[in-house]
Amino acid sequence: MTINGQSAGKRLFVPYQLDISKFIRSGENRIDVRITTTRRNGFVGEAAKGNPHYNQFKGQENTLVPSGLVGPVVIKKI
Amino acid sequence: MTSGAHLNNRPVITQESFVSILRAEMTTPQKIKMWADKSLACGINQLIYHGTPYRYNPGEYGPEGWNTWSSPFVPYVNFSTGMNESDPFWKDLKTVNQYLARCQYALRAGKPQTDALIYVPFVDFTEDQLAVNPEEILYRGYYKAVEPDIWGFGTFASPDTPINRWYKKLWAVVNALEANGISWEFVNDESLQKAKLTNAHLSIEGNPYQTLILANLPYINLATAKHITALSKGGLRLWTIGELPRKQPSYLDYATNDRLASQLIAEASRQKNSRAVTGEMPLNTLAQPVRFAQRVAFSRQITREMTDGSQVKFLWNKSDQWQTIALNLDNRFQNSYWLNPENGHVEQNTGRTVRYRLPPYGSVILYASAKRALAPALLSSPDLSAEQAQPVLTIENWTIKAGEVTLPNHPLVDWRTNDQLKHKSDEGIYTASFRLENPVPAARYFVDLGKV
Repeated sequence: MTINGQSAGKRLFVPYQLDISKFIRSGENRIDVRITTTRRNGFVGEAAKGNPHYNQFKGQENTLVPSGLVGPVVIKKI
Repeated sequence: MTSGAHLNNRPVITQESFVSILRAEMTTPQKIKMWADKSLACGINQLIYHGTPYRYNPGEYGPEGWNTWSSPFVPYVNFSTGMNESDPFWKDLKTVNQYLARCQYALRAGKPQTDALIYVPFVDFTEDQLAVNPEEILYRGYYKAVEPDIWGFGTFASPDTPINRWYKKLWAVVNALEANGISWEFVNDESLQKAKLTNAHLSIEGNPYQTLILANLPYINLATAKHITALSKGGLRLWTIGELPRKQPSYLDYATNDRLASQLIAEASRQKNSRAVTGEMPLNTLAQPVRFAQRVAFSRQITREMTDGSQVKFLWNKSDQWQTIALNLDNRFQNSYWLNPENGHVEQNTGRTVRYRLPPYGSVILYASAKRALAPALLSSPDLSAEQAQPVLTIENWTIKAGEVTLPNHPLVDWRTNDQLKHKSDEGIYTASFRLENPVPAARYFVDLGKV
């Protein structure tokens, strides 16, 4: 995650919280978050299109895994 | 497995880890941590990845190449996790492994400290026996409330067998021990028949145990029954739960030997240090240098003890909520510290009751030192947490990019609910802005990403 272009760190485990005190400024702030996803949903999609490289995921539409940033994303103060 | 290793003084207990059937391509760092924490809290202290194979692609596979455990040529079964440089989380694995390494290092200190032994009359242990524990949270590698529940080749529900019915009752006993911070292990016939009494403690291969639990046994080995009876006459603290066994498992002279086994255990149960437990176990009669200040429903833990009496205790919050663990330390400990295995920070405690706020599925290690004080240079200030922070604003509108898809001014969604994103496995790039007028210089500000 970056705040105003500066790295605020990375979280691999719950809780997905980062201290941004050093990076914020008064007024408008920009936040960029990059989320790594698993390959499962993409492979299931490829199988659904008939890609033979992903035969093992054929018919697995009901086994997609949660993906992306769901939030809510909240700025907090202490 | 760890019970057997501890009973036989094996210092390093290895587990082939992070593998579950039908769960290919679901592994995340958080899932690895959950798998690991469950194992560490059972006594494992060396975790081996199921596989970190080299990258190989002769043209028969997608761009990511060959995966030993998930193949288009064997479509009916797959496993997690083939972790190599093609995996999206490979870049994060060094950080994950730092966490694992710190835990392993701490859990190789000293020897296991175990309060209670539970006699198991059976010779095997299978995963479906865990499923009948209502407090089990990671059976078949199924991360409830996050992953899909998948059944198929190689998976089966726990059959209604006498052994599983026994385990169902036993888990209630085990869960009560865990909830009170009592360390326990299984013991089989072979080890129990070697047991001696030393200073009123059961001693097996030099390892002391405070009590032996016989719970709802369908039968008991005759030689074991004889030995338990002899030990109980010598002062063994024996807790019997439920009906006493009336049989032994052999066919040889079964009528006579069943009667004898029944008589022996009945005799053992009448000795002065034996207790027939009908309600709560008399847990407060066990000596515990580190004692839970109150019963908790979320914790699994394992304890190691050094020769000087110092203890290392790994504590895992197996719930999806923040929890507080409070421990009472006895006077043997001169100093105590919280070791955070995620970041390597060491915080010094004060007082005889120490508390730690565990995040959902979080873990921490207590180091209670009988002699040594750590050098000040090793200590850190307490980690600041956003848990107690107050919300200032919520960021609602984002630009979301994944591969060639761009969704401007979009609310946050689980990608499964969006037709453009549901089959994406690209990195998600989220951009937004927020206004913060005159932030307070002395305050600390956090971003809480919520559910990821």
